Amino acid sequence: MMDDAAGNAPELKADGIALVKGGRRIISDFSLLVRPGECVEITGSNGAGKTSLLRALAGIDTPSEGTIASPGDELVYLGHQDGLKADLTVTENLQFWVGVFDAPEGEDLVAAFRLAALQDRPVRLLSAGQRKRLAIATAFMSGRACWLLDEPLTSLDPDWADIVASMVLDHCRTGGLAVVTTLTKSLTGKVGSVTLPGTASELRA
Amino acid sequence: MKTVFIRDFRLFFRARGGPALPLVFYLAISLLIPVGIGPDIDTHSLVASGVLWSGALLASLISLQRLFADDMDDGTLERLLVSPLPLELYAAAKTAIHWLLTGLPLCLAAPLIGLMLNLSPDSGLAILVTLLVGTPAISAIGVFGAALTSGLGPGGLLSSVLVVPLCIPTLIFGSVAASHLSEGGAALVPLALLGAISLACLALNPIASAMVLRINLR
Repeated sequence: MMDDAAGNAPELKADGIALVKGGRRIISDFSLLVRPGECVEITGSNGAGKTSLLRALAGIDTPSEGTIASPGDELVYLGHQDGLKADLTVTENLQFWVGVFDAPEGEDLVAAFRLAALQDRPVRLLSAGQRKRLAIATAFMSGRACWLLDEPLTSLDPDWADIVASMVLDHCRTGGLAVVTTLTKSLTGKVGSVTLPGTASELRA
Repeated sequence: MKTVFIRDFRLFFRARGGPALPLVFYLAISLLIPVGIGPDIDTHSLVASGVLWSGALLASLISLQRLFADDMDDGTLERLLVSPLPLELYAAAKTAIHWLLTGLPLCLAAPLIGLMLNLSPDSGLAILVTLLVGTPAISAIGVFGAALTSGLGPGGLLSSVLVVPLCIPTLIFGSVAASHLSEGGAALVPLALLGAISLACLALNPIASAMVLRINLR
């Protein structure tokens, strides 16, 4: 379903990066190398800097120190804000992201995420889990090889969390690469894991 | 660009009420100013072109307030930044949709409102021509202002404060061209300058808007 996306993705490399937010240093001297076929799960509590790190890897934010080499034309990023329009239907939101990525319609993904029955429903009427499935589908259908997913399993029930985790791992097995943030370690199998040390209380201190 | 255009076209009617609000505001402002001036209908026709041009500028600003802010708040912009769609094309699509769904209806309404200001049909047509040439500049400058304030939360007022001074040359040349056209005078120079301003704004706006959007996303 997504294996055609993988291809031969270039590697994603962060070398000694530091991130500063609001005058506070939230990540120091962080290095990461993700090669095609690899998946890295970044765990950490709220405020540990997972989202900031992922945004930097995506090229949205610039690290204050260090360098990031990312395959810019193979990246797809899905943050906490999912880029879905509440007043548009599921189909209309899918059409928008299909158009943005110039991707095929992705009917297999619509079926895989059980969105067919919801197609004419405005996004504002979806449950949090349904909305999350739609958001993930819009990212997966991009046809891009390097996935940066910020807490994609949040709001999903355990069954759907397993399905999405399997999809991510399948993508990596077929030559793609993924960096996924989670609150607690959720991906099983051959997955690299990084735990960010900071906690919300430490950051406040 | 087409995909942004189609999505925003749907959203404009579904979430923002379509062009009705700018049109009603345009009608209100264009009729309230003459009421304040007094009952002399000759004075009304004298100030009509300026009133219609100023009204079109102010009414255009109404639909600018959430032009980028919604995409900023719901994560669309940060996802677009990491996508094959250049932000320049995205900004160009926003300008096109703003002109088509706000600027164009205001242009078409102007001759009708002009009749209520004791403007002859020929003068109304002159206003229509100048607005058609000049409102793309207002849309382009307005889109830039909206991009500039997109990271500031409810920055609608600030956007208007920034945009209005930048639109003054357009307003001056537009009113002058409309007056000359309706009086049968030589309107080529102000009309050409108006067109030049529009073309320059349309050419520069996507680059400038994309640049400030990238800065606001960081």
